[in-house]
Amino acid sequence: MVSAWQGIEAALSPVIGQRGVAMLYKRSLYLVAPSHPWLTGMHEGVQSSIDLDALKSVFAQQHAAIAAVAGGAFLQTFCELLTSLIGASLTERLLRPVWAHFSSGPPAQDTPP
Amino acid sequence: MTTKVTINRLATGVPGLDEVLGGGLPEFSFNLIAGPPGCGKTTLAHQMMFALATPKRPALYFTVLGEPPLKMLRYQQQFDFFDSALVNRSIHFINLSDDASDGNLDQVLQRIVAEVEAHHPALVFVDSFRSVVHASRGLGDPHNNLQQFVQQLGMLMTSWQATTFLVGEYFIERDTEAEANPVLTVADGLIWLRQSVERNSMVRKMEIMKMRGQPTLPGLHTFRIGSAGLEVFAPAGAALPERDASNAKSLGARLLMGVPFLDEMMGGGLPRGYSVLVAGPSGSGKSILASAFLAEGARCNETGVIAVFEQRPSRLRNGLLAALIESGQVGLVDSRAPDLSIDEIVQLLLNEIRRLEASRVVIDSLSAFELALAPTFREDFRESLMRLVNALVGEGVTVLMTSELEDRYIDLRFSPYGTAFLTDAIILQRYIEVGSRIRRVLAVVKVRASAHSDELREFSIDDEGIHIGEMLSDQEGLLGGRPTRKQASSRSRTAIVADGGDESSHHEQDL
Repeated sequence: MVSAWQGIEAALSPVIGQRGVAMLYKRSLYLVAPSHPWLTGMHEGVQSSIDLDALKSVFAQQHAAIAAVAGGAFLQTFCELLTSLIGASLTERLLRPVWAHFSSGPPAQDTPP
Repeated sequence: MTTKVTINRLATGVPGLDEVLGGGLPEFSFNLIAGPPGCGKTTLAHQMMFALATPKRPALYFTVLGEPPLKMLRYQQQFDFFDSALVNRSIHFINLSDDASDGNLDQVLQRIVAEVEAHHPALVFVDSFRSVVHASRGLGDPHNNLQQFVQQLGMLMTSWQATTFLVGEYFIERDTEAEANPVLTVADGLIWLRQSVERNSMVRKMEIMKMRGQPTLPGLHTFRIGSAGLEVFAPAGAALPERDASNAKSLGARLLMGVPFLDEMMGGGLPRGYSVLVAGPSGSGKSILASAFLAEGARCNETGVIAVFEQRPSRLRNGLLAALIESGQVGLVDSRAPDLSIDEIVQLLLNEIRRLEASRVVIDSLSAFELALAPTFREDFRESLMRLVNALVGEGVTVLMTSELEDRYIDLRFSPYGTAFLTDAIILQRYIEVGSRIRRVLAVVKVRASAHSDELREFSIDDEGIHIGEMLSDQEGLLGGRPTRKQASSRSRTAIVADGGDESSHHEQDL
């Protein structure tokens, strides 16, 4: 999951800036926390860039299955947030290189045909 | 053999802009797109970028501190030209806010250089440039820094063979401070966008203040931003007529007006390529005459165009006209857009004329047309009207315009604008009172370089249209509005009766 976020940061920060990515990341954490209470409050630590080490350590404390579900939900929330701002086709276009690196494919989302 | 360099001109993809620029955008030029917030700078930049960028000639769009890129992408993709499939293929958005945030212009420049080397762009946009200026403040002498930055950027981009645009807000106007601003002197081209606000109307205007090596069209050009992006309205007449006038000749020298006897009164119809003004008071039958003119064209297999400013097309009261529009023989220009400019109207008309290969054009009416114009254009309405007429006649069409004319019985006027001299022919309609009834009379006042009737004839209107009747030979003083039955003695007088004399005799009778 960490490498997915690395990929997202690499794909998006040239376009919208590190700070822009960090803000979306922060908001996604905030949105996903109510369903995964162990993530509560984590968004508060996010500043002008995303701290993947912190993410990694929080997820490492959880059971693998729980972490996987939460990690998927977090990614999906992020993609939905980005889609709500710049639309599905541009989101898909910008994040394409990220998913290309993962055999698992993108998280479930409403991608246009 | 010439060894001079040939400067390629790029087609910008913005309708009308290439004409205003004097033939497109010079390749490798270093340009500035400036203007106040909300005037369309970023949209113009995007529109040109999406039109010009190809995978082999990609574009780099640098965003600096101004508009957050997420928002820019969110709003720009609403335009038709925005094709997200091109993003990361032929168009690369690059955010420089992290580099610019500490105000180090060298770092910004280095980053730009690195990206340019990585992508080999043919087009480079830096938006917004003003934020670069702001970012540089506070570090030593901002002016020097900036000058250096701009000069280096300019040189860099030219040597990398990239056509470059700096997008920025520059509030300074004209020459006063322009010389002081190094950006303006370094730039090859200055595209200045403005918004002119008068009362509650807003008109967008563009000025090409500078474009090295090109005969740009001087002055302010109106443009509009719609879902397709910007459309610039080059001055009427700037675009060369596309049609061959010989086409017109093959159709015959004169056109029929579609009203029995009117052609005879005009000396055999209206000479092709003429403009005719139909002037008369409200309800006198000007629009009906205009419809007959178009219907006659349709009968002769000619197409026409009508610009209507008065009646809503959905409730065109004139069934004949509605049928002609329905059948496609007449094109309707019915711009409900607020704050029209004359150049926009001309463009709309020319598009429709060319689409239909029309030979007859009707503008109904000039009075409503004046009201449809943005207030800022009403001042020079006469001049605008002349440009309109010239542009249409230059296109080879025959134009009929109606003009609402308040009946004034003390003088003889043909248009409220003093525009009668603009047209080649004039048909005048008037109300007169005879036997306690309002009756209508009509006269052909002018047909340039042609013999025409001098008769003042009565006419009537029914479901079939206009019927021209006889002269009211037994009446005189018709133009005074209250004709009197001729006396035996007056018949022996000369044909021309002075208005004043007639009025006075009339008064004597009343007394």
